Amino acid sequence: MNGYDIGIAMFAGVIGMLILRIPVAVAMLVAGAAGYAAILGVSPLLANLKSLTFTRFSSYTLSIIPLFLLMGEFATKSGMNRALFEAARAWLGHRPGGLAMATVGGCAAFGALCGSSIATAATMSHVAGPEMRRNGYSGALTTGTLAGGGTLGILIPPSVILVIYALYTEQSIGALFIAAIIPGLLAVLGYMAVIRIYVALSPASAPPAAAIPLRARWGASQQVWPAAIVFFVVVGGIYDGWFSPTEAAAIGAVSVGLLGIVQGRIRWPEFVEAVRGTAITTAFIFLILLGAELFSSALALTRMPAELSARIVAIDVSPWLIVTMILLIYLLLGCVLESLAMVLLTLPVFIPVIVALDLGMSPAQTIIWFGIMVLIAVEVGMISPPFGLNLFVINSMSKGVSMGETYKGVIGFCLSDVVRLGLLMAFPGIALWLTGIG
Amino acid sequence: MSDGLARARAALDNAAASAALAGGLGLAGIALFTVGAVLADAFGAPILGDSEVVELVVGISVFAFLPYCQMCDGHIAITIFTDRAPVRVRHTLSVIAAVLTFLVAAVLTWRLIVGGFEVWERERVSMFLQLPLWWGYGAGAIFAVLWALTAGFVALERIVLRPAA
Repeated sequence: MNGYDIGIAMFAGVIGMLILRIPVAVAMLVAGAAGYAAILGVSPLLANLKSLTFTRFSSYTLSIIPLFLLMGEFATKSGMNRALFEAARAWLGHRPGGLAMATVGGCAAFGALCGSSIATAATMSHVAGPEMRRNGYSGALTTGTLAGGGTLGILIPPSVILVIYALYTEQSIGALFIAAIIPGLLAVLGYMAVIRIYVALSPASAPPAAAIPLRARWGASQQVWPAAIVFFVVVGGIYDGWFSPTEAAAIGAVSVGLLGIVQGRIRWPEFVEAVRGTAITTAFIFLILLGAELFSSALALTRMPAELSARIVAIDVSPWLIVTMILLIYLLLGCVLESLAMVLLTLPVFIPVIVALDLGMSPAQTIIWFGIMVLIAVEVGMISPPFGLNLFVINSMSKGVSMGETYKGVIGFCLSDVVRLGLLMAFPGIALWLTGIG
Repeated sequence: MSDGLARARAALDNAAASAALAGGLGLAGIALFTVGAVLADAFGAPILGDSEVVELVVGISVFAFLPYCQMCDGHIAITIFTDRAPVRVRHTLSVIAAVLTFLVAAVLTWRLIVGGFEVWERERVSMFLQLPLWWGYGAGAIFAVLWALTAGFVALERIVLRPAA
């Protein structure tokens, strides 16, 4: 067996184990260890494992992940999800489909405090879901909106996936966060347009609501200030280089936590719950990162990624066709794979391809732009029928809405994502402009 | 037998939750420490090597989170391909998954301990603050042992508790 075959066997092994319900991190660790041992032998593998785990867990740059997760937990416990939804509702609630639009707005704002799409979908489902149903919104529109809105959690910075992409490709976390801002706002506009069209086609799915007086609107908006300030300090601070991304995440976690304590919403029991939520997510993300580290270093030893990407680049077609194919692969994989594992498994092969293609951008520009494209493609995968992970999470939280209705409600949001991918492909400047990277 | 299992689960649940809380307190403490370091820097009194403290404590916290994640079945697996399989097939797969997870946890813990003794003997320290690396390895290893225990317990539990088919 030569290196190339071992590389292919590693991929086959991981996919086989994933299909058979082996936890993602364990599958990557087992396949990575097998590949490593097959090429270098068992003793080098055991020697490597002496330091690999601690080195991977104990990393200043990766510390940003648990800190952002803690910030998101604190934001939920201190009721920011409800405050943000109510503020968006005060301004949008009386429009056609206004509660759904307010949900999208609330999700976008919460996404600015939270780096995970499932967490955003879950936390907003608690507040916005019952409100939409109580006001007579159809099940399909309710769950569709929550699924679509939830993806704003990873699209709007901070975003765990972007942090990991930045570390893997050795790009600045700040640049990737900034690059995601305009695509994120476009997503919000696109989703609102989808809701408007949905309601125009099916008026019964969203009964109109009364407008709220202007004074009350400002009152509800007061609640948004803390979240807005935290967002600008965290993302602006990273962008302007006032502090490192890890410092920004610490400042975010501390300020949201203190706010909750001052407002009397976070006491000891809430703190313990927030810590437990952070613990579970941190543990599974870091174990996947460890698996990915072992897997990708073994894969690099096989030289399979280099050979495969050379073969792909050598195909005599337009580079944009290759990019399109890669994105299609992401969309398809996204329907079945966990997002983090999908990104980590594919980057070793796709990043060399993308860098080698002549897309008319500098290497740094190409990698940042591609990161945003991957992020959106991953995000579509999470809400695509029939397997999208977010669909199941939201459906299980929405009593009395069938899976079929959820599928029906979410299709418009998926289409809007695909349109946005097309726009970014035609105009990469949408992502690159704010970063100022040449 | 299942009575003993229930008692063991209660004990491990407790231990894992305490470990997670300890890790969380460490993480929250590090967040506060980092804010303090930023402020100190802003007022012209930078703390050199603050990132080494962050690294060390967050690294230990991650180990402290692993047992709790294990007891809550928090490691993501993809279930859609096998959701319609017969109960017995799914049970067998869940046993295989748990045993593999236990093996991985046990090997990683074993190597971590061996690595910890090495950095201790070689007196490896961090660059700025000269923090001994074995502190991190040692504290991490305590939680890693608990993790291996929880993973072993989950595997045992799944083998013993057959689904009522």
